[in-house]
Amino acid sequence: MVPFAIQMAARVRAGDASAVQLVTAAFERAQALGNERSGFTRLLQRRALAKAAAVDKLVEAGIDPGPLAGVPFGVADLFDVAGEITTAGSRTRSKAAFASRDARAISLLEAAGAVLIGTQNIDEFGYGFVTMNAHYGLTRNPHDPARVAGGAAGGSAVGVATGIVPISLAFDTNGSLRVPAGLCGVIGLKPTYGDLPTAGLHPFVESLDVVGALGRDLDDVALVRTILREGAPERQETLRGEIAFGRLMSWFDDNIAPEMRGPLDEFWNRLGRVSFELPHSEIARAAASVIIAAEGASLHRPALEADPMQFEPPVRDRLLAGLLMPSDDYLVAQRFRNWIQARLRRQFELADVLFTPAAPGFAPTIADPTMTFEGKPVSARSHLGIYTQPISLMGLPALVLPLAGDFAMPLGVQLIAAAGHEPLLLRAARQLIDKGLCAVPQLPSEG
Amino acid sequence: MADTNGKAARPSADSVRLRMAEAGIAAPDECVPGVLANLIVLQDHVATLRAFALDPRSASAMRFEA
Repeated sequence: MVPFAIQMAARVRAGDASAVQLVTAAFERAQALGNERSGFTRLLQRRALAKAAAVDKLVEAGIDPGPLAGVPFGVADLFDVAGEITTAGSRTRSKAAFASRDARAISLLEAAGAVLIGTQNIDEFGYGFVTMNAHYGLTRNPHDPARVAGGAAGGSAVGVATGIVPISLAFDTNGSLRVPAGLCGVIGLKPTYGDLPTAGLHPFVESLDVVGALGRDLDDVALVRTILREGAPERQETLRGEIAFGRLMSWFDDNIAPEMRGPLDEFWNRLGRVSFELPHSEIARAAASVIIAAEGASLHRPALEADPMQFEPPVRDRLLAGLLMPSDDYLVAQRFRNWIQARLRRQFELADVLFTPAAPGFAPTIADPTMTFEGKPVSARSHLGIYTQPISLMGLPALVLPLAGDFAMPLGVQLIAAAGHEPLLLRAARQLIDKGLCAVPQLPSEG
Repeated sequence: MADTNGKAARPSADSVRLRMAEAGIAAPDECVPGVLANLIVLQDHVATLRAFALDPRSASAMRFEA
């Protein structure tokens, strides 16, 4: 497995490795795995090698290229890359104009020395939890290629899990990066709504979309966040001694698959068996679904009018249904969103960090991408995010960590903090890793 | 005709066709079952939301921040 980003950059900055070598190795690994197993849809070799050579020249000249010197990274195919079409995973954009500039988040990482090597697969327009894309192919889970990677940003999680890149930039609307992080066994940070720059991110649901990061090392993910915040001040944190953890029950305890329940209970036992309710979570999920359908439909209305059959059927039908909803339904959902956000500020007076499963259980199979919900088999495409959706509506920061243990497939836990309290979330994650409760699993080929 | 279920009328294949036409969407008939199924899911979500009545003056629908 390739080293973590911070170690990679240290070697480049010290002249012990070259950026060109690192980037070339990343390309070789991605090409050897192919699209379905690498998670990449496009490899940007000319651009990346030129950028890597520039990083190496800075080092030769005695100039520090930055904290991510020579580190290869990927981006979900929803970020603008200068000179490329931002496909957003959809054939409807195959004749779209080339992006005139990189998304802000890409520019910031490259200004810190990192090197973008390619774009990564997503569900069409980010509308799904499986990364089974009718236009750009499916993305397989690196722990079992017969299973889904999760989505919508499955390619970004797989690019990291396979060690092609130590970090990926992704987005999260409703669980888009948290679900695949949980199913592929990597770390995923979904920041507070509005915390990181979304300029140049093709929108899906503007009142929920955030930019986030995936990695195999917590410090790498934290560093990406720091760089993307451009020195913005952190919210003042009130220290109350040890971090108090609490497990969310009710909605977040229902529908847990048997393979998740035992490990989650054990994790909870080790953290003191404190539980909390997050009232109205089922309403939050309903509101999120309404908001997504309405905003997504409005965004894509011109393409739906022009030719609805260009969309893949599940996305098309969901968007068309969204288009037929009365506007009042959307406003009721937004009203609830603002009401519950105000209520939530008091929830964190009792616990610092709340946790839930990231997804109900193991990744579903590609042959039968379903899961059990309320005792019935349902589509994984629309339901894998049952525990992430309410948190998106509430705008809270969340971080997914893999549970430590010898499981047949990765199991992820979602940590949640009050809005703007990412530093606390990262400290909590560090504590869980240091205690041996969470760990990024090795791939079967590494075992 | 649409079926009724409580206060809100359930959409039907015919009502979906009509509403899509009114919205200016020329979708082939093969889309109707999928749209109908999704519309019913959304209607259930809306029913969940409306069962929790919020006074419009107690929460704005127009603030987009955490």
